[in-house]
Amino acid sequence: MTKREYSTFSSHNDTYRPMFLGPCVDVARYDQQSHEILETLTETQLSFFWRPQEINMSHDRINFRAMSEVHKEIFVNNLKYQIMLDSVQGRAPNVALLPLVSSPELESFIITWSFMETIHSRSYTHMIRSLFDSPSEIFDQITLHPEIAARAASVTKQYDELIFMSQCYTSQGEGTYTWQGEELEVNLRSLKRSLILTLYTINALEAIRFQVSFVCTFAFSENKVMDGSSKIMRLIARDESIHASATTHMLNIILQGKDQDEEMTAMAHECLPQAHQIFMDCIEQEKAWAKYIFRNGAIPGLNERQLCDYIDFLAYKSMKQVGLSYPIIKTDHCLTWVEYYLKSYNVQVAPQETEVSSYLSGQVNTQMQRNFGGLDDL
Amino acid sequence: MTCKKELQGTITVKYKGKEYNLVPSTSLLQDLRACGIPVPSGCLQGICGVCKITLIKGEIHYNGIPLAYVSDQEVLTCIARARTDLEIETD
Repeated sequence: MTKREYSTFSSHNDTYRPMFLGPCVDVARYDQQSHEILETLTETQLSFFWRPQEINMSHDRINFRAMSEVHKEIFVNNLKYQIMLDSVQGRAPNVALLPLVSSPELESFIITWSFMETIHSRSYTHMIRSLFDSPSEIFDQITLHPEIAARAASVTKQYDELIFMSQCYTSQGEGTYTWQGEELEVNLRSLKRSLILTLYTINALEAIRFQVSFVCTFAFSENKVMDGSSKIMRLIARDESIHASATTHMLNIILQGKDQDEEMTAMAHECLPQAHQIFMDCIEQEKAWAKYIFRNGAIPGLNERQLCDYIDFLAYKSMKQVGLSYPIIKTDHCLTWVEYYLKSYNVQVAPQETEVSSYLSGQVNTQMQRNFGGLDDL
Repeated sequence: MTCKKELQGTITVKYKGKEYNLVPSTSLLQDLRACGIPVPSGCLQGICGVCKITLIKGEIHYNGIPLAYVSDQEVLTCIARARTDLEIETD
């Protein structure tokens, strides 16, 4: 029975490592890379490291309390959706992809990627703690929210299938297994198929789902409220554009046969109709989500129609990049104000910036002496 | 069509049958927009790929590392500068 036993250190002398399902990883070396871009993206991610505590949220609490109930609901529902997405992304790439990875630079990228997603999850906790007296109530509601739960199922199904197949293949080998009441044929080909569809699912998540949620937060900042939340979201958006770029590169490397795995390339081309459907389902769900969050009212500058137009714009751009075509040709950026929030050079957080207060904790003595006579009095 | 008065050191950009003269500035994106050619933008660091155009003819060079995926004919305008006259297409 054919199987691929995972090893944390399997010595061999291959200089070229395919991204996935080649020999198991051995020396974590980055002096030679099969795909240099993956190493560059890791370095860029690391250079973007940030922590949510750098952002002052005190004004957001005041803004939030003064907002209308409709706007509060839009903000919180959007935040809950973001929390769900990053909860998945903080663990799933590690669990699903790492056991199948062969190249050290891709392994390093995925570990850094998931780590950054956990920073995003910590940011949401920082935001919720800042806005609510009882933050736990907000977190407890996430899995009970039917619209979010439906999206979570859609986001995780492909990941879960790949994890199941990968575990069967590495522990038991080829065969027929039952997963969620259905029979699954597990072999190297079906594993590659599931892996490719997972990469498309992740790409749709990073390039469309996340971006849709970011503009909702930016729309509040555009109305001069919730600026701290917007600053955090700009940092998250910057990270997510790296992640979307990485999965786009991975898919193109496979599609163009640049990974020395002909079977994987052929499989990727065979999978294009299913990949197209993954994107179309995602787009439909995001438009339904836009309808849902704006059902009681819009944010000035962003309503359901504008958000749906933006989804079409994102879909056209992102699908084209991964060998797919979107039937609606939407090339004009309908939310031009979003560009300001996405500019990477606008999100640098240096300690001397005004919103950074954490480094001053306990360093400033606010007690003044009325009869202060000069330095000799100190 | 001239978008800047100073023509010394200009390059010509062919786009949709029209010719535009421009003086290269810090980025091709900025230059094309100054001529009224609509190019959307995002991160301005070559990561998101929103500002991609198709280069039919001509040469560019990059000010940074293009991190977004680009095919052989595509250019990330936010980090590119024109080196020669160009012929371009947008989506």
